[in-house]
Amino acid sequence: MANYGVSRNIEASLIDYLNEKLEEYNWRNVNVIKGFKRAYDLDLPVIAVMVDETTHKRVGIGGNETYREVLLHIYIFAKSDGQRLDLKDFVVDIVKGSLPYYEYTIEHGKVVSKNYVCQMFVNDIIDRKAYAIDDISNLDVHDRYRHYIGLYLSIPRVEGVR
Amino acid sequence: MVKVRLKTIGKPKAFDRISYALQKQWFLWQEEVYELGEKTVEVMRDRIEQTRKREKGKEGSLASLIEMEVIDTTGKIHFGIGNIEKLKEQAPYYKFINDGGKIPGQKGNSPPKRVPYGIFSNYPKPSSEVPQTGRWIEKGKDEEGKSYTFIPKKAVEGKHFIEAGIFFFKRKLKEILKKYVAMTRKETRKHG
Repeated sequence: MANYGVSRNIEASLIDYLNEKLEEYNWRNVNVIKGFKRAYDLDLPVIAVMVDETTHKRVGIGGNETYREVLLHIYIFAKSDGQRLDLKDFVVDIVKGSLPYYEYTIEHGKVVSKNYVCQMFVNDIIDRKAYAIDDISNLDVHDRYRHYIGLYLSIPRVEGVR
Repeated sequence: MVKVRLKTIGKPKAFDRISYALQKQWFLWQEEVYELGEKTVEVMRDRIEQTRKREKGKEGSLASLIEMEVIDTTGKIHFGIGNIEKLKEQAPYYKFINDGGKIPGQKGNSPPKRVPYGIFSNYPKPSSEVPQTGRWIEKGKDEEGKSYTFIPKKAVEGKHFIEAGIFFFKRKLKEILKKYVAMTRKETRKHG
């Protein structure tokens, strides 16, 4: 058995959280995935999440223990402009406070268990239309109604030295 | 331009303290914020350069267009990073580089545009052993004087240099504000 690293835990936790909330609020057939390129092989709507830059901050002066601040990207690939707006508002509403962080255990590439560890706090949000050009008919169908949400998270999970 | 709006949240007392701290150390903190602007430009440029497939050491046109423009320095801090008009004119692909996606097609839902004729720098063909290397040289020709074209089919991931810059700026600005408030608090205690 193996464990996901922190970055994969963040992505998996967010995917699980989004799926859970989408079901709770009766959103049907929304594909929630990790990574960007795979979105182009799936039917719309798609929500893609990606962990980007991570800053490791020291918990105390002189100590080796750190916690993370993470830049996370969420792309919404919608079918229409209305769906883009509804989905992005929904996502912002459910993520703007805090999100659960789980640690995942995998066996033969499959998740066998997950344990709740803490809440990830959303320090800042960017919410805007993605890659907007005047004539959207020139764009691939996946790019026409795309929206970007950037989250700056802090994860109060103290990491020591291995 | 990257627009940053400063909002004061909390009790008026906290606002007074911040306002007092900033007024007292105005020139110092003004200088520090302008320096932060320069650093933000570096962060954005690095983002573009880090993942660039071209040979290193030569800055691309998009990276060099990301500049800080000081608008006013008298009694205020007023500057912009990344002049949109300039970017639209000289690097209209900046949104695509930031957000990624599929290369736009021609009118309607036609296939994506062909890349203009040329050759790859790692001629005779891109290496399958070392993917994503080599640069497309527009108008380049092989030994026989032939040039080629292709249709990019895969989506390209964005570099998010705009967001990296915004989050960096906001995070560091918060640190600067905290520092000056703490400095003023110490001084107030010292002198009563």
